[in-house]
Amino acid sequence: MTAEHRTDGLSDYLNGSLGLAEQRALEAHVAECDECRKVLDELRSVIAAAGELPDWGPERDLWPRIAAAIDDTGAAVIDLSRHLGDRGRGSERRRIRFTVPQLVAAGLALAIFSGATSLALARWGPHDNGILSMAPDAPAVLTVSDRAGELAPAYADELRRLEGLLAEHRTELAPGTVRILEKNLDIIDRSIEESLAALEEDSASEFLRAHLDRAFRRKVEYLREASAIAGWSL
Amino acid sequence: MQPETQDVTLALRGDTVAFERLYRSTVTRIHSLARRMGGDDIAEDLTQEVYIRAWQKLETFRGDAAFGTWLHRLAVNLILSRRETIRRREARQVSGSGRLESIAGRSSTPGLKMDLEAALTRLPDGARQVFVLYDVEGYSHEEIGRMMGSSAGTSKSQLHRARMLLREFLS
Repeated sequence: MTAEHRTDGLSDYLNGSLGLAEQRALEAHVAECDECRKVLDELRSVIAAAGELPDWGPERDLWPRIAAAIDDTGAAVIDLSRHLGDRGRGSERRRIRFTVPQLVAAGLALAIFSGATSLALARWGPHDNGILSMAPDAPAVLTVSDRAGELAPAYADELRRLEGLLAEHRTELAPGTVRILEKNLDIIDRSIEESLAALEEDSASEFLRAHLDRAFRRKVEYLREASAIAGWSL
Repeated sequence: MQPETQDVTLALRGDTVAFERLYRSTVTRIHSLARRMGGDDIAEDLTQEVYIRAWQKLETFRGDAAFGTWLHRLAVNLILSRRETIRRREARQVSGSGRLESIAGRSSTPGLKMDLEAALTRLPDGARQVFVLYDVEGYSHEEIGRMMGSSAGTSKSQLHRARMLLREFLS
């Protein structure tokens, strides 16, 4: 043991970042100093344990809340422009973007503003492509509709008008567009379930209430944009 | 195309199911990072925030690294940007005993590794973050300095401090 310990250099030594001369001097010191040798061994143990720490995940599934939040970002875009372009080569390309939250809102809006899911289906009419049979069947929609009274009034009339436009022009959509809608309705159904799961877990959440409110607002904004671009009008 | 790359492509088109697959394949590592750097009681919030941010920033992922690597870097940056929150939270805690109990109750990791997990929670946040980034996650001092807005030298001294404290806690 020497009078002066040199523990300050031990981390750099273990990292291999000392110069050769410093390294040799430290090794010579450690060979003579019991205390520094002990510290060096303990630091080695700490580093070795750090490299082998096992990972473990969260105790609860965080996905439902993440899913609700990313719906809220409006970042999920389903681009229908190519499919709408199928309707006529050479025609001006029309770009209509359906976002997941907007389509989620569409599913919710159908249930809420039509008074009943079946009535909503009737308004759209039977169709052999299966699209309309998907969204309203989600039991989660009915659960949300129970809470919609306080959220709906601001958007109800405009959504009815815009949904009417969609219903009127729906058969003009190309098969490719229909397929995209169908595929993405699967995503929407899932998003609805996840949003509801989050709500069921935390029914008093102001964040989730605000999320629904924003979804309705975006639904209106989106439908206005889509109808304007597609040239639909009353 | 690798399944992960395919899922990123789908997620970029708005497919939340594909993004969920990415979440499930990476969440254990991200949550562990968040827990070690931010603390057990804030780890879930940080983890959620990482994935929300990843979703928002997905179009900046260019595929020149694995998705997990990109996500990990994003997580580190986000957690470091929350240092002030983490500091305030730690200031409210009394000597970290609650966190130690929490970790001890959650893991079945035996011996020194478990002790180390618990001892990590007793480190000052700067030293802990450098230790996690260097000794657990394998970042260089230069990278850590850049990410933390400091120098490689500061990272080195924080690392040494962390290791010495951990050695002390574990003795």
